[in-house]
Amino acid sequence: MRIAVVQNDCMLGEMATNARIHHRHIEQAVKKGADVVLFPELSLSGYLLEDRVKEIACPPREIVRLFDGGALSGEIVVGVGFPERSRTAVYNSYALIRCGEHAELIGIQRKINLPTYGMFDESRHFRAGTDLKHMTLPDGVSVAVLICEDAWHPALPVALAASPEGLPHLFIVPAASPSRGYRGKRPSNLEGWEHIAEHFSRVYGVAVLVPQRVGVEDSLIFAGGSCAVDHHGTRSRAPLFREAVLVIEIDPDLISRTVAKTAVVSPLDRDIMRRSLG
Amino acid sequence: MAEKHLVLPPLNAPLTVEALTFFIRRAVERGGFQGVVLGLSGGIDSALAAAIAVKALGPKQVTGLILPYRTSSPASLRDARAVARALRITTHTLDISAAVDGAAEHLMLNRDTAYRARLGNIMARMRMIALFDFSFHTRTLVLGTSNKSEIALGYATLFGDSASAINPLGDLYKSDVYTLARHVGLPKAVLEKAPSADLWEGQTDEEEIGFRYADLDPVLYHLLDLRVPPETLSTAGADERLVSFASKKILTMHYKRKIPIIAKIERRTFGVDVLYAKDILT
Repeated sequence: MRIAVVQNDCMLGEMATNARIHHRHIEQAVKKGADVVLFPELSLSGYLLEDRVKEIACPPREIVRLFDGGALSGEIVVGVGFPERSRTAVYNSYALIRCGEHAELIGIQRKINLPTYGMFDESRHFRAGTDLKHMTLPDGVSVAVLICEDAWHPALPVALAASPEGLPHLFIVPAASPSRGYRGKRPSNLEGWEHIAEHFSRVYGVAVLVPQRVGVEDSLIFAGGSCAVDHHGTRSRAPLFREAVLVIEIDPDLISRTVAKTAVVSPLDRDIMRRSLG
Repeated sequence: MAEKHLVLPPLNAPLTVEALTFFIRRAVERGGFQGVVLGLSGGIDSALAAAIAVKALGPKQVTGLILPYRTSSPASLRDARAVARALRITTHTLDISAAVDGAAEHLMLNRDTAYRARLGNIMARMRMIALFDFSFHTRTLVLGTSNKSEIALGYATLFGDSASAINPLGDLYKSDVYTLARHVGLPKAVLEKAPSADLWEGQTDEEEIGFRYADLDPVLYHLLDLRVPPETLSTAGADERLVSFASKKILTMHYKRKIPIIAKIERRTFGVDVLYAKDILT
């Protein structure tokens, strides 16, 4: 399976324009042989929405319609970030969609941990998701989506590992991480993301895909630098400060073998976890 | 106790220049502007901002306004022109003397109180008027050139040099400005002279502030970015006078960093809880 990690720029708050930007990237990724095309967090809307969140949020069915018909084959799966309106609240969500004449929703992950510190004020604008989903792509590849901050909560991958379904093949980690810390080799936030992705790969034996936003929204500079780490911990990375598509090949059968070997939650671990959770 | 030597780790200059280049280019593109305009003083901040803008947009989309007052040092004018020549940007020299003197004559009451400082403020605001007027009719963005050290200390004229549309340097300490300036290769004269607002003859920033940027910046970095409490810095042996001076300025000068404070009457109030990014256009 070929997976494209896209770092797209977008027009803040302009979903229709951004959908066109997505289509352009999808076409490019498909030309490179991609079966799955993954965009970053809030890729369709931009990040710094603030009060605009409630004005532009829409239900998943409207997002799915954006990927109907056109040149998109039914084989292609896309992952896109958007502000999701439910009947009662707005979520920072990520949808996996099977493109085609009539595109279909595979599943939605709502961001669980909403950063509300420093430059972030997400709890003000979004409601927190409550479930971490196991989702399955058409050919049986299983995925979990950890949206940005969720990847920094160690309980979540452990919860996946301890769940009856077990670990998925892929961790998709869509991010919109404003760059900061320019006193090292790379922006320090991106160094953090690469450490996290490599850690997930090495500890859980899964492949990890981190699509990052690129662009500028007021003071915030999204530097790009998306990365992908295969199940052996081998990393590839996209360039900084420009749109890019990073394509990696994954083999779900090989991932299943490394995942099986890692046995991340042993019976003893379970006892300790049970006791510590009280 | 021996004074503790606080360190400001060096900035990654190529990476930062790339980020700021991206910042300027995207801001101009997003609003459909024709480029940027900035005041060229002959000092290092405006020279660096101009150099980064040229990297972002090319020289044709960057205009420098050289805005001397009659007491401005001839060296400033010469250095501003040298920067423009090196960057191949268009400049316009507009002498602000008549406008400043006119304002001083017709708009100032009680001229014998703090005259020198007030005249300096009028100069800064007159330059702001020239920049925003140029920006209006050419559809260019006014590029700010205040650095983080100045902003932290409130070393700026409100609605004067502090006014701009976008500021690429506002999160860089003065020491960082030097690092980037050396990296982009600014003219030697600009790199080597003492920082000065050039508001009166022989003025230097460091004399007026009372501390050297080389000592101030590591303290500001620890207070602002690392959030080390001032007491901790002082007890650890940092210059107590400097720590106290810097930590007070960070708080007392905050009014200069806010948009005008609006009294809240309605449910949603600009500046309080109407929250939109400037980049939300449609």
